[in-house]
Amino acid sequence: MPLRTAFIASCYYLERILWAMLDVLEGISSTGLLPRRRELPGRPAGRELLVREPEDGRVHFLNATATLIWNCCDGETTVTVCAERLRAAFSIPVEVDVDTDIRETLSDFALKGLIETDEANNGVGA
Amino acid sequence: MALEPESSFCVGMADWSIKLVFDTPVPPLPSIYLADRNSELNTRSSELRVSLLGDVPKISWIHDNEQQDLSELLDCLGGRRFNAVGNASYADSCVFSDVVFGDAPALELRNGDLHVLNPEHRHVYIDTVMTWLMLRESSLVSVHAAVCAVGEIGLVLLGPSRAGKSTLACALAAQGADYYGDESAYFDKRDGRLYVHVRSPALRPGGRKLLATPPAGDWYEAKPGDPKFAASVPVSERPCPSDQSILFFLDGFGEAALTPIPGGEATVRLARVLGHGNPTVSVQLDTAADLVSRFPCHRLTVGPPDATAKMLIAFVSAVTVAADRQTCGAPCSYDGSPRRTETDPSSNR
Repeated sequence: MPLRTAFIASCYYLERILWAMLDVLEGISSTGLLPRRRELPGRPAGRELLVREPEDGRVHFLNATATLIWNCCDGETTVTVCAERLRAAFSIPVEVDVDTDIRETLSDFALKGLIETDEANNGVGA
Repeated sequence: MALEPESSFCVGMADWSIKLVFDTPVPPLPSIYLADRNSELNTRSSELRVSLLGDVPKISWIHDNEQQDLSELLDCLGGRRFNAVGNASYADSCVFSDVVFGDAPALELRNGDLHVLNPEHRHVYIDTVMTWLMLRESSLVSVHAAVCAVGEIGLVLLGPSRAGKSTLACALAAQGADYYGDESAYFDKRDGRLYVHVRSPALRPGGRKLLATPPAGDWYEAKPGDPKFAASVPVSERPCPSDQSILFFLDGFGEAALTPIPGGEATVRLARVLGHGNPTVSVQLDTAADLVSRFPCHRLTVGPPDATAKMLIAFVSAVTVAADRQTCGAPCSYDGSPRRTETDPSSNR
């Protein structure tokens, strides 16, 4: 019985993550805006950014690219603007598909719960 | 440094100092505490008193004329605590066994004081108490590291035991670098100034064998089953550069190479060798992140010691810290597959 409960809980958790990721991607498709990041304390760690979850003490390290995308997650910046900033900061050739990388990074943010969700009534993803 | 019995003096470093009062013969003290000796620094009215209760040395901490409880220190040590040893009962006290020197009773906490049950190691515990007080009361953090210098740049070699710090430090000294220590370095959190626990290097048999010209010295047993060679490598007479440092994270053995290390990884690895007055993991990570942001950091694969030392000296001679700070760390080139968020599993504590 506890195993079954754990299995159901895991399914429920995975479903929520999946929906959060879909919300983020659908939100970008419909509005062109990046979602809003959660207000989490951050601290530079060399060229990376240390982001802490105050509730459970978990720590995320964002590399330079992810940090730039993270900073664009204000609910007002478009994917196009974010892509332009990325290309400028990292001298990215035009033939490189930056948009896909941005979406994958946002999915990763959503997977790790770094993006505000609809449940908090603050999300712009849905 | 040997002192006469019944002596008192002030020691200190950075913004910390303490008055030491000895009612017993004073064991040699690490020179680190004498680096910035200045009685005017002693504004906190802290005093560490070492006296004899019969044959047992007793360590007391007095602050603002009030005796303080040293039980918190025992929580920071890695041994076991218990209330009875053999037929002896310590019902009203707490006995601490030090795993380093076997499992025999080492310290007894009685009314807030520490009684040293193995007097031959009393200098170790006096040093431990002083370090604990310093980290607790000052703006300093300690790191397990060897320190050398090339010109005006301090080379801080970081890594766990057996990573090759001491051997590499000896090789650096043989190649002309200034040698300072192979055990502990201290950083001031306020301005990043570097202080070093100056001492001769202690080599393990494997490390000594790798050196092209092994230094003279004597063997001793640092811990049971861990023989070390006290190498007579001269400590530089020049003060260790404190303003400019480069952190090298020793990362296994192979062909000598310097590669970038991502800031996140450097932060976690530095936090693991950090001695901090605040036991909170998040505070320690923040401090490590600040140091990683302040200093250039590199990953160092350790090759043959002499070749590695030559490579390091050539590297440090060719850079300035300011320029290196801009170029080290995770490369800022975009390769189309950016590394994204990485959750640090060790932080989930």
